[in-house]
Amino acid sequence: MPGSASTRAAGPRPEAAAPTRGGRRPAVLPRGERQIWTRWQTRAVAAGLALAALLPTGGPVHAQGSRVTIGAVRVMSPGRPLLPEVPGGFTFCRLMYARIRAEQRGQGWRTDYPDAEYNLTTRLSQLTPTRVSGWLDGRPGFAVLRATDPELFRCPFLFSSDVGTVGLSEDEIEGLREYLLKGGFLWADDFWGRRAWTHWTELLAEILPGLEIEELPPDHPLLSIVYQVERIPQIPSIQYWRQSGGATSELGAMSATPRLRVIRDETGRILVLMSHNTDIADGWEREGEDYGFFARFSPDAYALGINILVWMMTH
Amino acid sequence: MFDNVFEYLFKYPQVAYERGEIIWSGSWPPLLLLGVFVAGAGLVYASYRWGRARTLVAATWTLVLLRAAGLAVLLVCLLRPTLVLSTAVPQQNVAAVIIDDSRSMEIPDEESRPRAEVARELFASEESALLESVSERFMVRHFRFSALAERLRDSGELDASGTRSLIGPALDFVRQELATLPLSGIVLVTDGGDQDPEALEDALLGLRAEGIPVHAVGVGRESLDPEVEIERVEIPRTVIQGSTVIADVVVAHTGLGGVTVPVNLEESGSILATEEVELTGRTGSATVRIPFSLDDPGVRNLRIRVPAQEGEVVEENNARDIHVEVRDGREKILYYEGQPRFEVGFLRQAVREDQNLQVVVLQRTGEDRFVRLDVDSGDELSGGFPSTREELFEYRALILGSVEASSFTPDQLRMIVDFVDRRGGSLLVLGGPAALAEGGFAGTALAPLFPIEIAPPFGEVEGTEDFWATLRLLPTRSGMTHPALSLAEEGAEEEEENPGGDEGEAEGGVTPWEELPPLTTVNLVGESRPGATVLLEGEVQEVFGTRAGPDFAERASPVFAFQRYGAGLSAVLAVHDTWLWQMHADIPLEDETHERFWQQVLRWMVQEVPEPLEAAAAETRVAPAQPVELVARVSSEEFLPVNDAQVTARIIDPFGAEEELALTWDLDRDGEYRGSFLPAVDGPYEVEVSALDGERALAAPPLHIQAGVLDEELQSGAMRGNLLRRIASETNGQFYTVGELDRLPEALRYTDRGTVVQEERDLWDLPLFFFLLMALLFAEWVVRRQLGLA
Repeated sequence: MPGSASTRAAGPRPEAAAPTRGGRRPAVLPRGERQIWTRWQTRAVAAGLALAALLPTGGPVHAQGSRVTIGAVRVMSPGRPLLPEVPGGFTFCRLMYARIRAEQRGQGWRTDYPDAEYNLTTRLSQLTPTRVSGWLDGRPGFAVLRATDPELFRCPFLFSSDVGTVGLSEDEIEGLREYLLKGGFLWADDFWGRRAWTHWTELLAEILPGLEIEELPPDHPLLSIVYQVERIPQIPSIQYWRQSGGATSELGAMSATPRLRVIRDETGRILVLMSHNTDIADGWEREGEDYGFFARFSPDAYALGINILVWMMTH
Repeated sequence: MFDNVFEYLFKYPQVAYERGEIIWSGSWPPLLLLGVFVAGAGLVYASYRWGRARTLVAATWTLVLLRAAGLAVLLVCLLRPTLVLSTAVPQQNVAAVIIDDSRSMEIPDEESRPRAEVARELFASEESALLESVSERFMVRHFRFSALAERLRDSGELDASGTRSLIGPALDFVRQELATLPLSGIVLVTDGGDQDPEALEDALLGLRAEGIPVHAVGVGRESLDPEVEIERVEIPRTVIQGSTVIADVVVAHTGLGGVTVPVNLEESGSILATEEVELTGRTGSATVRIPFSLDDPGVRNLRIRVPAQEGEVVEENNARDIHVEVRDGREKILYYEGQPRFEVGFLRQAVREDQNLQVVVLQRTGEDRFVRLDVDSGDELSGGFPSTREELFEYRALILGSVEASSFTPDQLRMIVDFVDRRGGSLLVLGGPAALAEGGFAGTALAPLFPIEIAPPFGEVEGTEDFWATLRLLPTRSGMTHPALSLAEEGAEEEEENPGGDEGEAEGGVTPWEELPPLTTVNLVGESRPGATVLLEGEVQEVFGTRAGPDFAERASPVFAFQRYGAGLSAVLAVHDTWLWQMHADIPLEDETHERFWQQVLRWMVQEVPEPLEAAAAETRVAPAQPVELVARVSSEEFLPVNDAQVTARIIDPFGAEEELALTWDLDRDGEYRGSFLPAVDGPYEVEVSALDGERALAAPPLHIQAGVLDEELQSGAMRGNLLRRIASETNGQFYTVGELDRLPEALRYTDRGTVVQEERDLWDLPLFFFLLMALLFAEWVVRRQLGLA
């Protein structure tokens, strides 16, 4: 039937690569190659930038549907220049934003960064024929961009984590709207419960006024375009999973059901995809940290992640 | 004037000398006359040199020469030159007068009188002095012709209503009609408009063989000034609904140099598109390209027209009618992409609203795993890339994305070649890390299809990590006016000045090429092939890697090029991120450059892809009594010619009456069937051609043929003197304009054909000799007087 999508080999969940048991870093790439900064280095850079951010140079920030001006915004730099140098493939771009409210275990835009990027792009290039843009040293490339950055328009895929804490200036809202309407795709992940949902959706209403949020039906072809995803996985942060003894809903009954919701334009194209009450990116980020966590969550996380990436690249 | 002087001096008209032969009839022995001449000349010399009044040497020789020349003239007369002529015996021979009775004879350019009126007065009127003069010696038979020739019984039958002028068949008709009579010559009275040059050549052969002279009388002016006409129009016969197509129009003119005229494309009197063209020189032609689009399906009767210019004599040739069939249907295109990438999604989105394009995507997602998008059935492409020709030939165009050569079997590669070469499909190869040379296509069966050299001589091509470049794509001269790159909406005001695009600020507009963001290539390509057309060239902005060589940044690389290959075409677009023309920060949200680019490119690719049954008429407009020639080509599912099909044409006349015509296989051409019919009445005919190839029934889109008066007759309205001169000279006749006709009766008289007699006419008494002798003697007298000798 025209207009429908089908897949010949909606195969099993990706289980090809075994994780490094108990290792601190994911097993996707050799340790020396993949690790760019240590966590300490990251923290040092973050602390330095946070100090710089305390200076009264921050712009107005909007959140929760009402405009909240915050004189100083906590912003962390990714420490990488713009887009990867080597073109010709997929680039994972992450939205950098000002965090204007706090969520439990949330770290703002840098939640799951950068290991989620490394691992997903590496798995993407291993499990599918997708080429990934990279750096000159051969490592898979990704970028962290503000919504006002013109470079954002060179990256049709945008990922945002911990969106329950997002604050965007008027220019950023405008930039994001134009980005999405021109053909960009935004995946909002890792926000739990009603309060985060309300915060994020009120912001979305400003970005894309008039467009409805709808549930992605379980038989939607996105869920089978490469791998057959039977159910939306609920993936908690590894800390919560460990602390709770294996529970998955970070807010208990308030976040019991993971959902995939989307916003489409009038042509049916998905502009925004939201994975609510789940932290899909943790399934990529923590691949190499804990075998139990990997075995339980990562295959589902990769299956859904790859499906979403392939879908957005073909639609 | 010249003719009168000639005839006065030489006693007979020039034509008599051309037809006759000069002999010497004198009875004096030539040697004796020579001796007399030498002796006479010597005597003159002696008398001047040594006579009573001696003169200077130089003067002596002058006087001797003058006297000797006079003596020579007298001796020539004594030799008695005689003109021998073959002349028609009075009233024993026939002269045929054949008068053009077509519409072009209505043009009022014979001193503001219609050509037909002048021709009638001179050759068909009872009061005609010319005709009377001819009739004195000949029995005159009158004919008229346009598309057909016939005897003219009364001058009133001449009404200048013929819709075509066929000179060749008319001359043949006269020759055959008078074959049993002593035909001395044919007088062809016409403006030279002829619509069947081949038939004319055949007729001239016959006339030459029988030695029948044709005296061509050109009626009208050889140059109409000022005059502008639509000389030629080229346009696709069928177009896809809503596509921008280009009409190539050649506008010819005389005397309108420096004038800018509009060229309109009209339908039912309303202007669909217009372009201006500046005419140059005293006379000449200019080409103008008119982009336009048609939305409603069906046969559209269009007219290309230049408004009448002040003082123009013939306005009818300012317009040409054309027929275009607008197709409404979804054209299937297979896009095979080897790796998930943004280009796929953006391309699909660009053509999503185009109801005439169905881009079926076969996206590889893993080893032997594919995603199929926009397929018609669950079976379609279920095995991946087509493995049979029947399956592949279902599509009209094939796009190969970043997919390496090794993913195809050798047979699949040959299938793709056959798809283009035999099936007539279009192939577009996109750039990408696994495309072209980087995808290992150099040396494969597919490589000759590429319009660009893909195995560049400047380095290794394995791997892609060490080369990429950003290029600003700019149209070449060919690209500027190519329909694939005609991005602006037709009718937009800006489009007139910038066919490549209008201002980007306008809602739904397109961005000019030079303002579009640069794109990226990871494919190192060489020069375009000799037969290829480059539409877009890349101006290098940034280059990385040493593979390209030091001069890479200096040269413009072909980026989008195509070439004809067999029955189809093959194109390369060697960039991999045209989606930037949609997404880039500098591109306004409402901008439609990306959409228009892909819609135009894909529509252009599928526009003229043949079907298994193709039917065509040699002419879609025919004059009354002009047969319609039909030709059909039948191919198998693998697009091999089929010679044993039953091909039938159902002809529906303007009143709805149907008739069936069986088309027969042309023994000389595989898969080709022919037939013809003669429209009985004027009006629109519809012809439905169908074929039965075994169990397979095929039907071609209906042909629409208009029978009736054609405007062709008035194209090139000036009298074609050169053609008439050629007709006359090839048949040993003469060419005359209306003002020169007093020579005609004499010219008709001197003929070798018919009942003739040989006439000998003395030339010794030519006034020329007398005047010459007088002039020589006078000159001698003047010299002598100067010397004091007279």
